[in-house]
Amino acid sequence: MPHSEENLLDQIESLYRERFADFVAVAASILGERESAREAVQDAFASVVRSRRDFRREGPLEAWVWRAVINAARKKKRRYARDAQARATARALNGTVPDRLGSDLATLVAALPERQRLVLFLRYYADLDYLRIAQILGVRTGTVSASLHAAHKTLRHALEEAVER
Amino acid sequence: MNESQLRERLLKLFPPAADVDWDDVLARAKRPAWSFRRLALLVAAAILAVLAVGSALALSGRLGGLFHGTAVNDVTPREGFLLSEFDMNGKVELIAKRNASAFYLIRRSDGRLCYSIGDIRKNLTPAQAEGRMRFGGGGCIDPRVFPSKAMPVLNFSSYAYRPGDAEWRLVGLRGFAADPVDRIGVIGRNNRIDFSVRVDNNVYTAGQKAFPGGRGIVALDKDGKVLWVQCQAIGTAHPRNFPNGGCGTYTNSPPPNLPPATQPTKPAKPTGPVVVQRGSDDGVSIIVRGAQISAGFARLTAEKRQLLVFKDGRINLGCFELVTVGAHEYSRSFGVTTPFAPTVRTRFSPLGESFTAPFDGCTVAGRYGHTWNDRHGTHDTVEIALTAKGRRFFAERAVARDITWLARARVFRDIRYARHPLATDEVARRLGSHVVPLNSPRATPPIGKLGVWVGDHRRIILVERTTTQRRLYLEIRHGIPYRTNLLGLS
Repeated sequence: MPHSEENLLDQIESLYRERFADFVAVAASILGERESAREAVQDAFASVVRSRRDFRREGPLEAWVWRAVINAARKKKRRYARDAQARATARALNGTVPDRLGSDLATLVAALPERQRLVLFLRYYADLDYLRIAQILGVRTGTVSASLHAAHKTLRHALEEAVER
Repeated sequence: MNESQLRERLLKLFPPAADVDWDDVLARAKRPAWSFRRLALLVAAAILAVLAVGSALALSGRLGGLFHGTAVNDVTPREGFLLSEFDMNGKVELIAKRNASAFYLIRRSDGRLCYSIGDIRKNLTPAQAEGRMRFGGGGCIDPRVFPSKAMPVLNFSSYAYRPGDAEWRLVGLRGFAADPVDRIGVIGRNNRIDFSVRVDNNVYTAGQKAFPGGRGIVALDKDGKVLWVQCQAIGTAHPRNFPNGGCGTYTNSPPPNLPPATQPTKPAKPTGPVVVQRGSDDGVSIIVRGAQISAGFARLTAEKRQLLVFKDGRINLGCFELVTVGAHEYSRSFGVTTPFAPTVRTRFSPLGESFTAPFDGCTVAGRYGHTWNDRHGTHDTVEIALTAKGRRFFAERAVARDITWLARARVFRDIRYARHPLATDEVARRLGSHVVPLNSPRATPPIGKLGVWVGDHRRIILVERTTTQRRLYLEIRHGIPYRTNLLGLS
């Protein structure tokens, strides 16, 4: 294995170890449950390791990996949507319910549009700056700012309403 | 809830996971990404798709490199300049000519394709040929969007409404279409296809025909099957003259769903020292610092202020730079409409791009109308030259305007289009003391006077000398501008 490739593998591994919790949380923001999110992260990193030769170093490695994680989560979500009926049946049969988001905030976050939800998690959970979030999502920084503002506004408004009730 | 509270609550929601398993990642990485079963399923699905929607797949398969035409090698410097102003400069190809329209494709160096349709004009005078712009309406589009299955038609028609019309009308039906599109149909007011025009060599046009009540267009293949729909009657409000309620069974085709294209990184502009320019005139002072413009109006007279400030309390502030294209100089202008204040601070940044100093001059223009030889003159209300070139431009433009405004003036119409030309002296007498008769077509009047000469074949020459000693002229034959050196000035 060439030195640079080995070096890249090391970088991917350290990214995985350092940011595992963030990756899982962001994937969970798409999938709505933690176990599937973990699976998506494992799959995403497997894919990143496999295709690391394709990394052209045109942008930061972290952004590339984040995109892989988000894509893996989205792919899993699509598959879940297809299998929704089967899963519902399975849950009814074995009596287990995935650890879905339970609190008010969780419900509200889950109801946000996906981009807003992703931006929210990437900013406040993974602590990434606007530029990096824009690189990951393939949008402009202005869009990140607008999405974050919209998400924040929705949550604040909904939580205030909940308190008033 | 502030940001830190939100952060804390999100962390509570998803307590950090600690079950990292790198060995599992490596093990998964060793598995083949595509199993044979999935690959087989994919191939089967592709075969089924070909069988089921043959024409649709043909559409997507044949769209790649559709448009090829004849290279246009005689783009004039002026046309090149104007195309570059709209970010459309590149290799121009003529795709087709239909009726009086020419269809062009422009290949930009970054791979983007631009499409333009212009009117074909023949028997141009030298002045018309020099000032022509063959490329009319147009724009650039991501090649993944058009031509594609999701968007097989690039339509250039528009919807117009004239006072008195009971409904809007579709006008200028013309555009580009991908190979599988055989006809373009117009959805009429009864939500049926009232008219269709054949697509020939990837272009279509219905000439000058207008379609009152036209609600949209459809792309049809050779069997009459609808490939794509663009319905404009999608309003939800009910203004009397604008259609709403959709196009019946013709529902809009979904827009192309594509990931955002990676923007080519522009080479960074060298960051030199910020250029600072100062100038003042007509009671207004301007300070330009890079892209920042500061205009002070403290010494503006009440009369000028009345001319400058619109009813809504705003002014038009603009600056320009002069660029030489071919043998002519053109002004590239940037402007803003901004609220009037004793000091106005602004920057010119259309579409997010900032235009920075150096400029050759700035103007503040009023919104009053001009007629030839009126009391407002031919200068803008406020003109501030920032360079010697700018000063010269203001002087020459004022003279050029004097000539062109006369040529368009109502008072000149009878002279310009007279079947039996008047004598030079008679023309000068009719136009007042500002105009003097010339002895010959090559003569030049004194500075401050507009010279006129009338000859055989309904030939009229208007001449004026600028304070920079330049002789500006416009020659009219049979009522049409024949030759001039006013291009870029008026």
